[in-house]
Amino acid sequence: MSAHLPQTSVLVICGLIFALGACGEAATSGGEDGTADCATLSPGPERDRCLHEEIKTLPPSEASAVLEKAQQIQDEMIRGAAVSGWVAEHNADVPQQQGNALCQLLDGRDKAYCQRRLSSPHLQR
Amino acid sequence: MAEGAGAGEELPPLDELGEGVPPICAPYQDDPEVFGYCLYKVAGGLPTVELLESVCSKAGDWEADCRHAWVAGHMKDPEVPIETLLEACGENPDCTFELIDMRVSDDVVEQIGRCQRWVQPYLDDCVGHAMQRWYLAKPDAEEHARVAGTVLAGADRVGHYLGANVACRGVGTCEAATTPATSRCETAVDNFTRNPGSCPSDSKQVLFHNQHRTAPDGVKSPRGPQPGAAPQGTPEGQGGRPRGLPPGTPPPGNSGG
Repeated sequence: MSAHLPQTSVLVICGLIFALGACGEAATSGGEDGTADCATLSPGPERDRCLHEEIKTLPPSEASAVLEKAQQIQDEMIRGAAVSGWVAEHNADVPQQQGNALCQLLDGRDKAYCQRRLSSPHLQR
Repeated sequence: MAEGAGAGEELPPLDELGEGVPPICAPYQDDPEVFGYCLYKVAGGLPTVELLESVCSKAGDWEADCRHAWVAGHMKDPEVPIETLLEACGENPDCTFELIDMRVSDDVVEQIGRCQRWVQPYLDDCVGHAMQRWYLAKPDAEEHARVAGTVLAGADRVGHYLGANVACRGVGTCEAATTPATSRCETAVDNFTRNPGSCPSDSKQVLFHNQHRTAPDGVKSPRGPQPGAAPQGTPEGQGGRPRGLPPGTPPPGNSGG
């Protein structure tokens, strides 16, 4: 069917597709450092959820960035889920000092379990 | 409130639980991860197994942690049978490890049997804890022979502490040990004889992790290291793992509420 379309129409359609694709990508992945989206949002639940999503994508080598982003999350439950979930995922590879700093963002048993995940040999293997 | 619920984890009135969704978690129902985490956070304070099942079954990826939190919140309650707690742990060996390390049998042979039955993935750690407690109780020759003559799982750790008893205290022999533990015992005797400074500490202070573990009636709980903490005098406990909780760090399941 596209073979019958004028060449300019094809170019316009391709341009639209490219533009939409680029917009979509920008809306989901943010800037190069992955922070652009969340940084543009006003403080609140949406921003908290955005930061949570960003944290999930960070590798163990980015523990400092996790800490920085987690500290920006206002909702304690979202912050806890982000930190506790990330530490549970990467506990064997997180530097001790940074891991402990992350655990300090938690409270109660969750804080103790966070530290345990980082320190118990049987959970490190 | 049952022990275990930390700050911000207040147990909602039972009549407000409705369909098993604590009010504090209701706002997060559209986000499965945060919702599951929230349920895990309140689980330690849930008073009954029925509520545990109702709440934790909705926790998604957090269900194992949710169940573990409930067990941690009740493991010091003597009215909750260990069978109930083991069942609540489900297929989470870290939960069962912490549980049987808290509800320690007075008989090390039985304790090691529990390790074998319930904590398979962490068998060596569990046996190491059991044998460390045994060693700290300063077993006499008769007890040494009894343990040595019983076929036990975790021969490496068993042999290690048998060897420590032989070399560091002059109690018993390695010959009494069953085959799997004999060679490890002999190796340990050799090592401790050449380097007496490496003998396991006699001080119960090394078990600082459990100093916070106090039963609800105020009685100190059975001594023993925190699950996963390297037993003293073992390769792990001699620097094999650089990480460790500092003295005074509350053990899991005992810091909340």
